[in-house]
Amino acid sequence: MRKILFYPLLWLLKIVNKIIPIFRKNGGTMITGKIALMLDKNFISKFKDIDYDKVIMITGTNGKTSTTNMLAHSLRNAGKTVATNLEGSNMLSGIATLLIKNSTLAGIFNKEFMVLEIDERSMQEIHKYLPANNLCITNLLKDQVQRNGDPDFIYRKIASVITDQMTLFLNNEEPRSKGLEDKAGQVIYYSLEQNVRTFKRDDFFQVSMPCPKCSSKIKYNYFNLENIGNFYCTGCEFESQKRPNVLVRNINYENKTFECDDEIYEVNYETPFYIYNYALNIAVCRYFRIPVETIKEGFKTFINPYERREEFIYNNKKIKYMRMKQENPETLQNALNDIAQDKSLKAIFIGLFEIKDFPPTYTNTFYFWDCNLKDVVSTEVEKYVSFSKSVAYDTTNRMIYAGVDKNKIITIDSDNIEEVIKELDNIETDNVYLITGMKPYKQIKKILENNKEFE
Amino acid sequence: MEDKTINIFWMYPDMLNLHGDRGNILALGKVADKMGLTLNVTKIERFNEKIDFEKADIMLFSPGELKVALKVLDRLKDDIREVEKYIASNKYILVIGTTGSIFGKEIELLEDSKIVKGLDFFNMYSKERNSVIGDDIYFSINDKQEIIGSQIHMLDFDVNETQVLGNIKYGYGDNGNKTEGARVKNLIFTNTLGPVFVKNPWWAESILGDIADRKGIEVKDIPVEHYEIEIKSFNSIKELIDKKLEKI
Repeated sequence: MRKILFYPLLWLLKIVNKIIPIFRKNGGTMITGKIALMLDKNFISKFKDIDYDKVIMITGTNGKTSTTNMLAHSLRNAGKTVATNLEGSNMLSGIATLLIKNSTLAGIFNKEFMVLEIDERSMQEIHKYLPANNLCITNLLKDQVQRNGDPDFIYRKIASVITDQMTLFLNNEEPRSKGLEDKAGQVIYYSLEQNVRTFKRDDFFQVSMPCPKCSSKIKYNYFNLENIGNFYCTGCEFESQKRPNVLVRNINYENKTFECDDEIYEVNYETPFYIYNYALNIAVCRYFRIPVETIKEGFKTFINPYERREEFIYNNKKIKYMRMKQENPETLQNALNDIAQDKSLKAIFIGLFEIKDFPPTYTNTFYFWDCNLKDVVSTEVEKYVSFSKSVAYDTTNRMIYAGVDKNKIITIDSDNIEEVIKELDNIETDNVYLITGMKPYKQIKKILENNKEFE
Repeated sequence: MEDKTINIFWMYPDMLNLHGDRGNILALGKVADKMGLTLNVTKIERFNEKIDFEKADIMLFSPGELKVALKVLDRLKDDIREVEKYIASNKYILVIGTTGSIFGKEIELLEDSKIVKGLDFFNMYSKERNSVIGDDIYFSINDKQEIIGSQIHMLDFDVNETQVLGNIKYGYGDNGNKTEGARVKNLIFTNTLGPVFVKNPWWAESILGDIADRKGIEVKDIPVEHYEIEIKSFNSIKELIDKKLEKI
């Protein structure tokens, strides 16, 4: 499309963006971007005055939404103007929508910073039109195999956009994303020191991962999260940096504080997963010379609208929901690790379902085999309840292999949520953990909310 | 006392680490135990580690990223005579997913359509795909044994018809042409994940039974009720597959 036609299209889409919320309260975040790209595939590159040194892309398997939220909050708290795709898609059409909303009628980008959550698979395509000079990679782990195949597939996509103009912000304890360090102009490493939640894995059947540089075995000295910890390669010199740029120390999970360069930070979220997100935020904020006191203030006031944990009371039982992403062993493992911290009597409901993300629907539960249940199994559990029509028996079988007593497992081979609730009524303990995807959780919660016992 | 040990070599478990396939080792161990056998697991963890081909009864290669599988290919080329001898003596190699490609004739990579020579035990040509296929898979071996699981397909395999392992009842298999896996003597390649021997312990039982027989070890029969959960799982998934077949 000729540049002269860009402006009428932009104006029209700005009007459409104003109209959409009148008709669709919760939707329409990508529509104008989709239209724009349909009519002009170079639409994004036609915006002016974008300072690519102040465009920060955040990608990775887990943690990109939380980190994007947090970073946008921190920068705004420091008085910066920020455009971010929090409300929209993390693919190309979402970025186009963001630019339509954050530009003048002359197509001039009207914010100082752009903080963008980027879908790993879309990185190549987006970076072609928006060549950001800052890239944060939270981690590159197994995820959505039906779409991604294996992590190396994503690794190669991200590697293709890294240039010597770019500053990379990398997790010092995640080998695969750290493997991208060689091509960047500058690398800033963020890290967590060993802490009370640090653990080791010495199980004979535990597997590690291949080195992203030489394919030999990676060994971990310890883990801070599943597959994230201080590591070294057994075949080459690749390892966690001895002196990372940002090192979080003295984490106090009870008081929700940690230290970094002798400064004490108070935070609202105290899991190791979040502390990594905070560490990345410190790294980026420091790079852009945000004063420490302002960063600290931002952390105190940050509330994540997309928190994965929820609690409610039903029938005098405290239900603790732990959201997991299917085909993503780390989210399931991190939920299990958190449950294992609770040594009191509990019931655990697990609903893995067939995968419906893309056609065809299929019955993958093999990601559960990447998880370790030993720590949970060693705690006091009244009952385990596995539910879903197609894969409840596979879930049950995994638990039996992990050493769970068969008699403690109830298998519900049905998608009827009422049957799950019946079991919820039957158990005696008032301490209940529920691990499942967002959709079945919403179904369960909706039914319970209509019950008078719901609080 | 009779030695009832079966030796399995778990090949490069940390490098070939996709899709939870460590479960296969646990499944083979569980089935062996029910048969009155002891499964002795040896990990081969480093590329420069010497492999004692004499000792192994089974070698298990799990699915790995293609770049890692190619490293394993280079390593096995160093011991090609030993591998030939091992296969010729009817010992078992079980290879799953992408890693199977290294036992074929050639692998065509996406990058510049580069061709890599395989170990040439299968008359099989592999080609890296630019998209992934993820689906269930359901097939039969010699019309006798039914196997069910999942498949994440990143390479297409063109297998000579005389070496095909099984016939597809549902799923993509080697290349969408109703064939699944490959077999030459007891070198067995399957695309099936699950882990496959967790979901199909009857297949593990027949492999372990054959090895025990060759070693002159008597085994116990496993009563069918020991597979209660696996059979229920099989039927649940088959029900879903039947629904998918109705829509085709």
